[in-house]
Amino acid sequence: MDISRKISDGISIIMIKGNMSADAIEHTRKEIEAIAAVDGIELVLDLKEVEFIDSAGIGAIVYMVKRCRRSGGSVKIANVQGQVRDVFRMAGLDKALEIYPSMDSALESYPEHKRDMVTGHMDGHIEKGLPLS
Amino acid sequence: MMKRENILIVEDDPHFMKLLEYNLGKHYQVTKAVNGVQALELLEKIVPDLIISDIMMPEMDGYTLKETLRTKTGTDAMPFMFITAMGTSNDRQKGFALGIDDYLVKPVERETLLTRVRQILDRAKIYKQSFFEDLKTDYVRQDCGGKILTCNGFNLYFRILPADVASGDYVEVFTCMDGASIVLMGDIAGKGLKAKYFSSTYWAYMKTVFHVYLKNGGSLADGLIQLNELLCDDPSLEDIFTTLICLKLGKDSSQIVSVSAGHLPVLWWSASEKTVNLLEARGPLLGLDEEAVFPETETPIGPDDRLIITSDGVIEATNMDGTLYGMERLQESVIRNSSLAPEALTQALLDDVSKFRCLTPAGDDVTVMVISRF
Repeated sequence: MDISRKISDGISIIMIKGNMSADAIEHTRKEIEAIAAVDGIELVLDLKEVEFIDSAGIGAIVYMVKRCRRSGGSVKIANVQGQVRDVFRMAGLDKALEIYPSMDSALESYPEHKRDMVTGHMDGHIEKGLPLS
Repeated sequence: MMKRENILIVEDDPHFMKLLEYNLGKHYQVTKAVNGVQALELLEKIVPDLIISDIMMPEMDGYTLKETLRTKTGTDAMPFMFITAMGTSNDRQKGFALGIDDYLVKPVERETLLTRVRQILDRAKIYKQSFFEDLKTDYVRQDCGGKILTCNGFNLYFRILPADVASGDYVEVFTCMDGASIVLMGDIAGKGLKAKYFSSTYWAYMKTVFHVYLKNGGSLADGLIQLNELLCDDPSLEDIFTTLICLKLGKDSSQIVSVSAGHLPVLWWSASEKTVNLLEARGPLLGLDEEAVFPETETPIGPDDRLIITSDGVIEATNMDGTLYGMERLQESVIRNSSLAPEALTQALLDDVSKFRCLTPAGDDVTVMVISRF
């Protein structure tokens, strides 16, 4: 599983590629924790290239959502499809998380003033702390 | 094959590290770190049975390492031994004051090393077994004691096969004041000691809500709302989540009321229609959304119908090729074995998973429960 990120209009886009399985999560745990550790972070998780997720993957997403919400930030999720969508539905996550059909719609859901507010703050933390490829 | 105990050696001298690795590696699995910082990073991923550390090391010395571990839940009671060149009485006292289990001064004879390590591991094993036995006795029923449980006209049988000494899966059955039986099955996700410690905290919440509220006639849906709010309010639980399914088997009723918090769908074998229906979760997993609601579902159970409830260890079981057992195989297995009584059906489903997995070890607890009418 690879994690990469970019910033669009001050919102951090986290792109995940590969299976979100127990082994993969174990290997990327530090990166996931580093992303969630940025106080007040506003982010979109792009799951377009995730074909498989298990309970460990769900655990990683739940961790990010809870950690970000607690620090005043938020997590939105884009491009949930196939097996991932089925597992989300089974776990009731389709009702508990903010899920959008595309990256554009997820980004547009952030108010414009919020995007401006976040830009500088997040860049500083994320560049410094994240060993993301 | 019995799992070998894991020893984390923290030592900056490559020659002494090699010596320790040579002597201990014959008997134990060895993990290595060159200083306290690296050891702490490794401890994010592994749970060793013993830590052997030098004291004088660059970046973080042994005292600081032990002090740091002592302040963190999950590592505070890890067996710990110093092997060091610092041999004064003050050095030893400082070490023991930090709560270490043993202190050896270099050079160390091979026999002394092996004996002292074995002693610590044996002591820890006795403590660990007793701790987890208590945990199991207090909170988790591992099976029905080999007997079918009868609750208000229903037969119920279940088995939990833990992947580790303490299971994250749990089942509980109890009776309310109005005579209805409540059946709970849940899964505490998360690995390592933290998840195990968490299970006792979680059970305290469960007891508070279910054994007080539900026993006195509260609804399943309201019970889950209360439990969910408690879990959302506890910041120490942010990297752990739990799923839960609750069933109410009422008196003089063929209906089963169920409510689910992110748990896998219940499989309902309808004998009249010869089909397996999936009763999907209507509420999210616990501790995520403090405003979550958990709608109740009523399912009419016919005389030869079966309800099958499992944990994710069943459908996430993998074989040697890395292929998942999956929900479809489970449904097929239910159809093949649907005529069996709850006890035999439970065993047949577990056997099918085990046969599929072949030699691949279980990565998660496996729980199967079957309910039928009598």
